[in-house]
Amino acid sequence: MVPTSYYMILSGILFTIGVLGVLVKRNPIVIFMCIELMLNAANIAFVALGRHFAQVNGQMYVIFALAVAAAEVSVGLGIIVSIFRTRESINVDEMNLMKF
Amino acid sequence: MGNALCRAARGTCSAYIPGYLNAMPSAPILVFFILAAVAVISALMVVTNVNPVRSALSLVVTFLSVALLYITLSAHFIAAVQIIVYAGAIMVLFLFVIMLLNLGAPAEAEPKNKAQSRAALALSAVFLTALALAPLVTFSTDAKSEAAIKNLGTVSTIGASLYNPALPWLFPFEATSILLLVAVVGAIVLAKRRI
Amino acid sequence: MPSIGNDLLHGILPNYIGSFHVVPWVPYIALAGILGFILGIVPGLIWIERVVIALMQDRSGPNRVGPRGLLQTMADGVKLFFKEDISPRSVDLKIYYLAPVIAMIPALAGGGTLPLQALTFRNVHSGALFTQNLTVGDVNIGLLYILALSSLQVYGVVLAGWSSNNKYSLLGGLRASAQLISYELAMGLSLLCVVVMAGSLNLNDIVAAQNVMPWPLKSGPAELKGSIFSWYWCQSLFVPVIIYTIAMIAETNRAPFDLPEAESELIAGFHTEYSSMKFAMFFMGEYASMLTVCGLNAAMFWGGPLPPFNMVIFTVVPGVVWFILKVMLGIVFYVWLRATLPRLRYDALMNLGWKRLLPVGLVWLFLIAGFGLVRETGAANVNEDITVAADNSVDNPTLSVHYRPTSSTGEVKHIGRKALPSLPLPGGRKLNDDPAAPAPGAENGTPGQPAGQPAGVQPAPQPAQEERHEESPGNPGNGASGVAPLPVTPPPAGGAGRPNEGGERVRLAPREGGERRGENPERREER
Repeated sequence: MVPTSYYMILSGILFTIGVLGVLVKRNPIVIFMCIELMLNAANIAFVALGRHFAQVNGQMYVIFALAVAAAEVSVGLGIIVSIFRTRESINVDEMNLMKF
Repeated sequence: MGNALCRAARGTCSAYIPGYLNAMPSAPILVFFILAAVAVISALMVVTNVNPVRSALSLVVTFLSVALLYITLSAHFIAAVQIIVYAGAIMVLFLFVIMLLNLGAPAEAEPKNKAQSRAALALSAVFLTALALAPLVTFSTDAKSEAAIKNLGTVSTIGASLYNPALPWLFPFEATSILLLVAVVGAIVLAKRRI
Repeated sequence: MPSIGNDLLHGILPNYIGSFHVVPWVPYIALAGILGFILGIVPGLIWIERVVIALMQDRSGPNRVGPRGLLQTMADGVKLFFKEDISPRSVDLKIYYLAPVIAMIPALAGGGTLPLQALTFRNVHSGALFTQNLTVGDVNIGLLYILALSSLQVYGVVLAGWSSNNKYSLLGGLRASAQLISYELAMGLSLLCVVVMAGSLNLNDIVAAQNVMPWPLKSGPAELKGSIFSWYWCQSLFVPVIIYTIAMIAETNRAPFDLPEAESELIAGFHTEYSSMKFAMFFMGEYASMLTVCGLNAAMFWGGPLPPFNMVIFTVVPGVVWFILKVMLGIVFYVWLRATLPRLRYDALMNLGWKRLLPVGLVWLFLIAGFGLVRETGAANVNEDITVAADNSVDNPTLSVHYRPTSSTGEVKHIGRKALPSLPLPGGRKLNDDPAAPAPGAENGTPGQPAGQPAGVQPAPQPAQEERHEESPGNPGNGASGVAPLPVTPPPAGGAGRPNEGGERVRLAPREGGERRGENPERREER
């Protein structure tokens, strides 16, 4: 059996890559993708810990994380589309107004 | 560790097996490393690609390998749902929006902020070391037996736990349905010009 | 020990042939069979399609190469193979080459959990009978696996459309992604109706659950057990199978839902820029996915490998043959629709998916769940039948579990089976009479409670019903957004929801194109 710590380290690496992407990228869609990556990293940790303690709880959290991710993406992409409509550009550095 | 793995893999581990064979990782560990490598490399490509479509594709590869990792963790249901929801719905949505807004072409000379990138890298390095060290320190090898975790991720176990009124998951589940409804309405309000 | 010949007459196989142990190889046999069948039958399918369409349009169809044009597709294949492999200069090469592969792999892998047949083996030493399902992966997430792969299928089309760097291809890819997301929901809802009734996601279990007396009957002629009337097309009251069939055609981008490749508006849609073998791979992928969704249709609604009546003339024929026959009937249905119906307009397609199929599917899911409660309370012994049948066929449970490639599935089945009979409890909430359950309930928050896990397993049946209810509002949630940012639908012409109203596509095609261009001006300038 693969030790739990391996999964935890993998989860940490993926999470860090996600953080890095959020900090570095300018395109809000890619930033979104990196947030999804971070959520996935957290999910790996949840499932691995759930297995470590032989508990189903870890997988429960993942199910809720999935639902939240779906909701988040639908609203987020809706926002991006509407911003693109009004500004013709979606560079995050230009999004500095609360209302368009 | 190596000895135990070896014994598990080939039944017994006698003295005549040379040391390098003893150090060879067993099949599950090998599978884990392959999947982990794929996940990490494609995750890096999400960040390094300038083309959003390629980023999205790399992310799909990451999600698929994460789904396979879930299977190695015997979380079958989560693995299937991961593919259906993430790879099948969320990423298709991303691709759809990228193509709809025609962002597929490489970004026109993204203004690079060197200082910000460097700061981000440094921060990530610190973060990574912290994250990677934590499990090494805290986790011993007192994992549960195979039998205890074998059925942990099957559909019936998940369903039985999720909808058991005695367990605390039923209310969050109902709340999630409201959340999704709100998201549906919100997305339509945001995206539709006239309602 | 009875003679082998007698056994074979009843479809019973020896588990050893000489010293060769057959049972562990069953999944591999299934794998080879499915792959070989899908890859081998595609030319045949194209031939069937051309011949059937020719019959329906009263013309002669292929008749030059081979008898009745049988070798025509072979000739076409050879032609495609030797055609020059053109890749336009402005394509995104890597993705352009990857797209046909991505289109083909999920279609081929999708057959992995289809229930081809339940094989009965006789242990040559003890004489005990046990069953082993002729399935590549007899797993507890069988249905989810197929759904997952069919949801991956869209990538091939979308990426082909995008990487071709051609506006027609791009439009085709966009249409495909919106269409697939929309119809996946209706498809999932219709399949959930069956899952609620069968109480399992394992396709072999679903087939076994159809092998009972048709619902209102408790006893009767043995010919009716597992007959055509006890399959779920009939037992789920006809609507889910209609929804699924429509959704399955939309999922595979076939006429009348072939908007991603509508030749009158988009040249050839997403595969405009593809030629030679890459084009052939799209073609093969499309036909392979047709086979997979028809296989799912056969397994979920049409009894899978079960013969139409439990009579000797039918049961002599092996289940695999029935399964293939049902799949082929599905294919012929595809062709029939293609020859009959004109292509839908895009907004009519979206209306049909979101405003007709999805609400109807939701309502039907509720109905089926309620109906399930009624019917289980009325006829609890039907479920008894299932358990008995299962226990009979698995004469020696330890043995069969032992031979299962993934032993976990064996135990899951037991949970599912035991769960079924307790479904009827009309008291609903009171199901928690199980003594083990209250204990973890006392300390809800503590995750360290080991009792939570087994206690969770026990009361499975009742909540399992609710799961289907509650999941349904969730699905539109992540899918609605799939179309939400798509402002293409609202044009005033939107009222036409009836499929046939797509009408004369010559008239409609230009209007459709005009709307799209008007709606997103930003795409026109670039590319």
